[in-house]
Amino acid sequence: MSDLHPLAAEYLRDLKRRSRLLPSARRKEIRADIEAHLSEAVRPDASDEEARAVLDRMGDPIEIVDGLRSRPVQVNMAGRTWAALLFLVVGSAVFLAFSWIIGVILLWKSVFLTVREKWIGTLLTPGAMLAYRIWSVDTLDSGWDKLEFAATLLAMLVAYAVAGYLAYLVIKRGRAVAAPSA
Amino acid sequence: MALIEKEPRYGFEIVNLLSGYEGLVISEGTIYPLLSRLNREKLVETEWRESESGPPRKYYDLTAAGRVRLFSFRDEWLTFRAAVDSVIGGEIGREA
Repeated sequence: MSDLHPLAAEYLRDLKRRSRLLPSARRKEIRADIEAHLSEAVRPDASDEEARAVLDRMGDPIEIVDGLRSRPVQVNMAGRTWAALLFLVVGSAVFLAFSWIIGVILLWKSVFLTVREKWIGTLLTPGAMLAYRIWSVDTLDSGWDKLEFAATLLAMLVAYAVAGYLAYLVIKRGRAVAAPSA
Repeated sequence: MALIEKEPRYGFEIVNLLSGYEGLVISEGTIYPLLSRLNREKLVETEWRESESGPPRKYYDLTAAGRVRLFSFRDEWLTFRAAVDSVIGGEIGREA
């Protein structure tokens, strides 16, 4: 990487990560194209605000990568992200660690979610379990009572709601990608 | 494609020209996948040229097939625009 503004370099790293699933020729080409663009659009000594303005205009790296994908792959990808969420939440409740690990691997391979969303997905089940643990220690004296049942239910509902939201994002983005572009 | 009809241009130049038109480009980055597709469809060809400052630049130029496509697209577009103008009507239609 030649002289790039730190934020531009970060953007490029993000693009590199997201373009991993593209065929190698397209991947190399788009990385070089965007790097050349950024090296001209953002001077290395530009202010962070200026750099951010340019990067905002560039759009989300995912859009760039989506523009290079062919359709059958996209459908496949959305399906895999779905499977990831199923493994993570439903599977984790039944088979625990094994299912959760598969879910996490699939999730991080997904091209439809941002890094932040992937972390949310990863921490969903452990988070719900932890929340439940903390709560159930508090109510240990009173034993398995209604409060504890409510806490379990609540933790599960929150986990399902978040997973549902991630699934919604995947569908939305999957459709956006599958739609014919100009 | 119309932007490189008269002379080859490089990516950054094309993006900047397109961004100059209000309401046309939402995400500048998506221009590159588009150029890449045109290249794969042999509608444009690329050539590396030295620049006075910095590394060589990739220039895009229309191919013969690209020119044909551009002409037929212009034709379709004018027909389409005329149709929309007359359907929508009103002041805008009459002005155009």
